[in-house]
Amino acid sequence: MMETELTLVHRAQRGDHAAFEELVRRTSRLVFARLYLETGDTHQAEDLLQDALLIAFRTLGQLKELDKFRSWLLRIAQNVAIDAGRRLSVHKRALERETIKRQRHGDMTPGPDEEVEQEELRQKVLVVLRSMPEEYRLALTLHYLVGADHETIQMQMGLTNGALRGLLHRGMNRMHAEMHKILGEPVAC
Amino acid sequence: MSEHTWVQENLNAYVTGGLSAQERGRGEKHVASCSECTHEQADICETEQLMEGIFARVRPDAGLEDRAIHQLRQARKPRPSWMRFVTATAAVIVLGLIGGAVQMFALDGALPFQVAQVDGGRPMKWMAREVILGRSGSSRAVSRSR
Ligand SMILES: [Zn+2]
Repeated sequence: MMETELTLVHRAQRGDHAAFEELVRRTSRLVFARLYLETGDTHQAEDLLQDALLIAFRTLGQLKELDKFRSWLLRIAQNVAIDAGRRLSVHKRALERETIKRQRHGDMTPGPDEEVEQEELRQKVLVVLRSMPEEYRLALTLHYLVGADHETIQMQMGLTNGALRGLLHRGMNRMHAEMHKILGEPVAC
Repeated sequence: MSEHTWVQENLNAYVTGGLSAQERGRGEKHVASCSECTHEQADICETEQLMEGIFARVRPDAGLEDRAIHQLRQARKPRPSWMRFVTATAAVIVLGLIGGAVQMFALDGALPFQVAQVDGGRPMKWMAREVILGRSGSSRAVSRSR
């Protein structure tokens, strides 16, 4: 049987490393989604995820409301992203990384024009996602950006199947409407 | 709830893989006979394909969690024993030096190093510069004219 999150947090607070690692498995993609929304760059999001997890590991003892582990961790991630943003212009670095990646992979990636077009589209989708209500912003980011399926999103957000269905119903419908504004009328697939 | 309403509310869960096999069958049966739901499904499908196309290359891979856990383990690893020995030795030397200095101060009633004297009201930053450069007070003009 799957251990409840509350039990895991409690065990982790008493120094059980395996329990903390299980929490990492259950929340890493959610934190990554939050950081991707902030930075728009997959490598930086992963670096910051690492920073956030290490801070969480070292300060877990300070968490008083054990059932608020997720929101506590997301707050840490948010602060880590803000600090990183201060250190260096995030978007500047993202662009630099994109250029290096493009040079490194050469013929494996789409042509420069196509890649520029895709990057523009990615940035537009990010803007739409950032404007979504908090309620389903992370669920949508997990699905579209991180590529998570229903079961993964459920675990990462700590939701039941039914609760997530409701969220996705409202969120994805809104997302389709926003995407139509960007792209014009849909084409059947 | 009518079949149509049920399908409308669950089409997104169908696409993300949130329905049971039985529910999927129920949805597919209705969609096959309803033009509105067919249209809706095509719409959802289009957004899915578009997102797949633009984000597939930048998504985190399956190893994300393993990498995170590996790095956490590295971070909490105790330092090797030779490193701890070097740190401890350095601490002993530093403490010894401080102890010696304090003792000299206690015996002589003076600081064990020379302190720059305030000289003709010159700005402190010039004095600091001269101390760093190892010049005497009179060399100020020379150092400035260089
Ligand atoms: Zn219908």
